[in-house]
Amino acid sequence: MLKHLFNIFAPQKEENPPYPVNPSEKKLSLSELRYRRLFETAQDGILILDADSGKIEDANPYLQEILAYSKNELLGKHLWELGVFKDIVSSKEAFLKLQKQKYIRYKDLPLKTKNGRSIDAEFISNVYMVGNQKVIQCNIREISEFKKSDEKLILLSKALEVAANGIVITDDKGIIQWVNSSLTTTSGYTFEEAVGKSSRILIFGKNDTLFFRDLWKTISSGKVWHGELINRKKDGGFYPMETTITPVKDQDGEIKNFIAIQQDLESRKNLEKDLVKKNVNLVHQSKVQEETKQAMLNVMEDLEEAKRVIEIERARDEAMLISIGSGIIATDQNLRVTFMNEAAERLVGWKNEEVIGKLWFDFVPMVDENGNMLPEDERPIKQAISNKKLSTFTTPLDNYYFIRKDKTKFPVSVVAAPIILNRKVIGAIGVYQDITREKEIDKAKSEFVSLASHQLRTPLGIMKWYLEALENEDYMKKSPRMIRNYFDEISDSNERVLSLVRDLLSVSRIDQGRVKNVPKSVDLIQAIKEVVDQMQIVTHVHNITLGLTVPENKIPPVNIDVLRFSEVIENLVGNAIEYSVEAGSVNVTVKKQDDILLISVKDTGIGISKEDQKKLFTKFFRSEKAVTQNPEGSGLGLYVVKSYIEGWGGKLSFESVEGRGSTFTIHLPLCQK
Amino acid sequence: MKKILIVEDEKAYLGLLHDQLAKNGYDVMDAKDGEEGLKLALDNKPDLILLDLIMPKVGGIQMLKALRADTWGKDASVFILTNVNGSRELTEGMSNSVGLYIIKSDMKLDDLLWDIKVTLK
Repeated sequence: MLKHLFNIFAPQKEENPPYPVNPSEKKLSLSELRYRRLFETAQDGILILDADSGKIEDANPYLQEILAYSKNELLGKHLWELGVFKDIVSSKEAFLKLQKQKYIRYKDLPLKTKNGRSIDAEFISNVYMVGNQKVIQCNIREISEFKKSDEKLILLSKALEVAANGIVITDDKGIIQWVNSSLTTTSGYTFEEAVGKSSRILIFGKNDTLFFRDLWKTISSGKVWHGELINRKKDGGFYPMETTITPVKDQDGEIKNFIAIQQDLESRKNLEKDLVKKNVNLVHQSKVQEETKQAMLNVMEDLEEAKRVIEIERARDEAMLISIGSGIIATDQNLRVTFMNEAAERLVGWKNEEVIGKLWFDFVPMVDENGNMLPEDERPIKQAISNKKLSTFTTPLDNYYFIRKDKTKFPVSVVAAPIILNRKVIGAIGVYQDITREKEIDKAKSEFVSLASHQLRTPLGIMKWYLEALENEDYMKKSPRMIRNYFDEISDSNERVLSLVRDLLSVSRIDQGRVKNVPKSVDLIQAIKEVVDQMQIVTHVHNITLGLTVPENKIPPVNIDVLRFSEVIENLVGNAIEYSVEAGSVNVTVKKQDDILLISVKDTGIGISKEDQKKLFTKFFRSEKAVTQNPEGSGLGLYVVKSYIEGWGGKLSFESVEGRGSTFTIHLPLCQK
Repeated sequence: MKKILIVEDEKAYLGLLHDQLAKNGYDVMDAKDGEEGLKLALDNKPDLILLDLIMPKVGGIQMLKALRADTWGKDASVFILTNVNGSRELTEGMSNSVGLYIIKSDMKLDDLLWDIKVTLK
């Protein structure tokens, strides 16, 4: 039946309407036609659904228009298949809800049309029976426009409501229709009290009739009036308000309303005063600000300049570090490499990126001349960090080697320095050099010295004995004193050269590592005593007092090459006497400190200048003063002494003040291997 | 009369030692190298041999080895007279090591003569 009903509604059927034949049917079709006309022309969208299946049975043209779907697209579809209704029916289950409720109304439903337009619609659905069939009729009314103007109105009235100005709307007779909260606040009247009253009592409170007549003439002729009014408060007080009254005309040009907008004069005047004051302040402040700004700019400029200088310096430092000839690495306090320059890369064969962040010792082992790995604790860079001071292996005598990436080795000189920031060691810098060439040169030099010394020794030795033989001859003994003096001079000179050659030989043997220790168990105190006794003979030269202090307790015998040990003591005591001043003193003191034997030789002699102290152990070095005092020295003695002592695992230290004297101290470990 | 053999390539040393020893009443023989020295030693069995180390042809060490291999030579008194330090080790470990090891340029002639006198007493 319903189907039939809708069938006749269908436009394609309309072209050939199946007009009924009998009168009752005709009567029916007439009313149907009337409804159909209504359906077709309605300014609401109408949708007819089969309540059982949810399929769209019919949709009127207006609905098609607002939703932008054609009739064919709508017919026979389920409601939930159309995106436009997703908000109402997103599933069959939701449709069931629609089915159950006889009447549903959504006042403000946002819909999206087929072409993507958003509309706001009112949606009403009714369920009713047509014969024995249940249908759902949905009316959809677009309310977008209404909603917009509604919203606008609400917004405007809100704005008026909260405006700081007092606002009064009257009808054409001046009877108050509306006041805003600003006005109620200032006047003391409530909204309800104000509405319906004559505007005269409120805003024209203290103005005379003449004044009022003029005003009325102006606004009733449709012009805007602007001036000062005295308002009256509910409690009887008055207050001046700057007022603008605007007549509002309807479409036919008739004045329907007046709008009065008021502003508090007092506060405006105060505001103006304030403004002037503030302005003055502002001018002053802006001046101060301008100055501050300029000062800031200057500071910024200075900072920029300083930054630029620092950057240049940094770049320069970095460039220097990178291009410097020595290999340089930097590590953090845990010995992880933080920097490595190109020279270091070339030296060890590792690339910067291979070692950065890694442990230096893992990459570059350090070995002694016999290939024994140097313990990590003894490596200069570790020592620099642990001891917070410079640690160096720089002479060709320090026979240490680095092992390259390709397992080859090279003799290396090392200077390692701690990096100290705020008194904390944050890392170390290692400076490395390949000293292969230096070592070769040094070796060649030593070999040359050795050879030359031997060759020199033979003729000198021959002279020595011949001179002695001659001296012993009766002939010589009987010769005049002058001749014998000449002879002695020749002898002495010969001895001097021999002594020099002897020293040279010692040095060359040390340098070539050819000094062989022949250790025997020795009573060191006894050995020292013997040397000191022998040296007493030469103390008369400067009238020196030579003393010896030994510990009361016995010192255990030490395994040492006694000849060399005596040579060391002799050398130090000899120096002390040689460089003493007239009637000075030399004291040898032996002390035991834990497992170390301290042997110090203290003199009251000429001392050593700070400058010379640095070079004291350098081969052939002789200070100017030393040369003056004793022209015969070779400058090798201390070098030999130091080398011997270090060979025994000990060390030689000294303190000296120029003009006051020097103290040389041997630190000798008692547990000799 | 005690016999002393001097083995020394340096003429000046040889001449002086010869004169001085002869003057002190010894029977002195000279050899200019190890080869000659060994022959003279084995032929004449001297009471003391003063032996230089570095010599042409046969050196002192070589001659000493040969000498020690001989039944008489193994106990013969030998003083090494040299100017080379560190050579002492070369002769160590040999049977009947030398009696004295003398660095010529470090020793006084008088002292050497004294040592010889004491040794040959």
